[in-house]
Amino acid sequence: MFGGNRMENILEINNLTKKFKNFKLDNINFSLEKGAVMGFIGQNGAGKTTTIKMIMNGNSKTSGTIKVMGMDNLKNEIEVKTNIGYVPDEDYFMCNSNLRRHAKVMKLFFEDWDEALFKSYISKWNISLEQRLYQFSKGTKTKAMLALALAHKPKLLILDEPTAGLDPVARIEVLDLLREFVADGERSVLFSTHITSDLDKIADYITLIHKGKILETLSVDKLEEKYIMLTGSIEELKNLEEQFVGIRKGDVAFEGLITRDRAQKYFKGLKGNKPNIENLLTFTIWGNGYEKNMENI
Amino acid sequence: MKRIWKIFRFYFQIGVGLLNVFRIIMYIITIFITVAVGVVVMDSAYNKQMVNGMYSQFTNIYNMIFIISLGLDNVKNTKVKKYNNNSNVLLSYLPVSKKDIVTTRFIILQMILLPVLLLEIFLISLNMKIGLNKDFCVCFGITVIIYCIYNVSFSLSSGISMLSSKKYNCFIFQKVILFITFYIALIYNAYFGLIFVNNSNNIFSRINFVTQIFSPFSGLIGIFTIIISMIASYYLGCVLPLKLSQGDE
Amino acid sequence: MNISIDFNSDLPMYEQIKACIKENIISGNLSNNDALPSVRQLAKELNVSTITTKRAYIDLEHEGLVYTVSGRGTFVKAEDVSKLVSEKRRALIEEYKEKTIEMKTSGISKELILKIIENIFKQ
Repeated sequence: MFGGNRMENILEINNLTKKFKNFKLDNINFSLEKGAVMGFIGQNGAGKTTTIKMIMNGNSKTSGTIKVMGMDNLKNEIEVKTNIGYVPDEDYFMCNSNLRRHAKVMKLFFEDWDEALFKSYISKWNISLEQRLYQFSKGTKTKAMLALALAHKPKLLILDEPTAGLDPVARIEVLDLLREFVADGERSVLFSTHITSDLDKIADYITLIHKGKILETLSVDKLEEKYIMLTGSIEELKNLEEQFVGIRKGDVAFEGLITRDRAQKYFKGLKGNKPNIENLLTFTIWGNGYEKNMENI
Repeated sequence: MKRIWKIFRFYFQIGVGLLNVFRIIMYIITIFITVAVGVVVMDSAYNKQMVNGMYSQFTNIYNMIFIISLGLDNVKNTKVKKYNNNSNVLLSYLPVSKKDIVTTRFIILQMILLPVLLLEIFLISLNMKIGLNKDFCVCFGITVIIYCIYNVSFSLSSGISMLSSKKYNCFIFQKVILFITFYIALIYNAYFGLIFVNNSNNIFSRINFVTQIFSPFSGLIGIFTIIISMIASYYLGCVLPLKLSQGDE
Repeated sequence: MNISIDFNSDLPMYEQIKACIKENIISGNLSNNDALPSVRQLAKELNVSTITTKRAYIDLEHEGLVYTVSGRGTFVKAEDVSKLVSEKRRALIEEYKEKTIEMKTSGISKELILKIIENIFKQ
């Protein structure tokens, strides 16, 4: 993923740093190639939304570069934004107005606006064009923003917690839609969420951010190849907690994330399971410091 | 130019309902009033007589501007009831440069104030050519000052809103200015009404010497002040916010 | 082609897909030059990433079991299934050995184990 042909990366973030009063985005490095879906995971307040806002140039950066399709996001701000479809966590609507006018205004600024495509999403999801936007639920607002984002044919779709307000039916529809979106191999999706089960179905790459730092960025096959989840009794743990990436111990039993070669070396007999994205998120963050009474394991 | 026109259309198309109709009507009324005032003053200057109720028309001009600017809902940040009516957020995600946005806002501002500006230029030149009534010069001088304050404060608010988007409802600042100038205009309406009607000893005739300060602004000094205020307005509204937001990086 | 994924297995997804395809080849569901589903199609149906299915196909190609024609897709290469079959048998024997050790340690007698085997082969 790194070091590939530069033009193959739709998004490249290098050494991005931003200082706030109480928080610091520290040396963020990751890139996203064409035709891929990347899940951007982390706890609330870890820096996901801040990083994304910096891609959209909402916040100015202290140092580092962000390149979209090879173009610097500051120097070529207009062209970069033309190629990005953005669905933020909080809606950007003028709530007194309606969707029809927002679409009209988007059409002004995006030359590739496809009215038919927009209408197709609106009718598929039953969204009213005339109703005032303050009456929309969060889920409907998200779908409306998604329709607006897709209709101008962007190359990079950036979604910040898109599935949070959606019912299960809509969630699956959106995931299918994202799969279609990257199917031609030319477009990518950056999908920030803490609902990791959605990512298990669709993500090609995972980037984990914690307290402003990137802890891990890898493809999902490497995730399953490199790591394994182990469970067992405390005796079987043999006091080898530090071998784990992250571990959750109780009085009787434990579960932990560990690299497969170490599992082979130290815990050969133990029952394991392939790790999912939630495991990566939680155990990497917990590290070795997590102690919890687990009565029902 | 094309980009600025797009942002222009953005501000006017995003609102729903009769908002645009309202704005146009208000604007037309402002034009009527300024033209009426101009004609009346010119009449009275040539005929050397004051016309009743003329002073109060000045306050009306500013009332009109007040109402129009309230109607320019989407040029500023407002929170109506519980939801956002924030054009800055939407604009920041669209492929537009900040420079174009501030330039458009400046142009919109100048267009709103245009009828008043023309009236003032007309009256100042009338004053310089013919010379107008003393009290009228004071009143008119104040309105020139009010125009300059409006211009600068609108731009300042626009600049602040560009810098801090959601954080500050900067148009509270603007509303305060508008309220103060509206109130001042009301007072002077009363003041000149009294002087005109009853040239006797009253509370206002005591502070006459203070109000004479404003007299020069109905002349050449007024023109300079207007030019300076336009430059200051441009600087505060367009140049400074961009410098500051880039300095942030 | 039958693909059944065991979600409780500790094997990575791409390994399971590989194993399923190998099974299909052994059992005859997939024969030489049969077309496999496209990377994207398979990913969609299994609800996994295309990286996973692509990885499975790439690994199988390295092992000489499939070949890819650019623009057309991936196809089975299985003129000689015997190697696969013997590999599977070897794995089963290993498993059987471990199970037998387990049975022995839990106290099951050799005679009982042999009797079970005989009964199975009688059928």
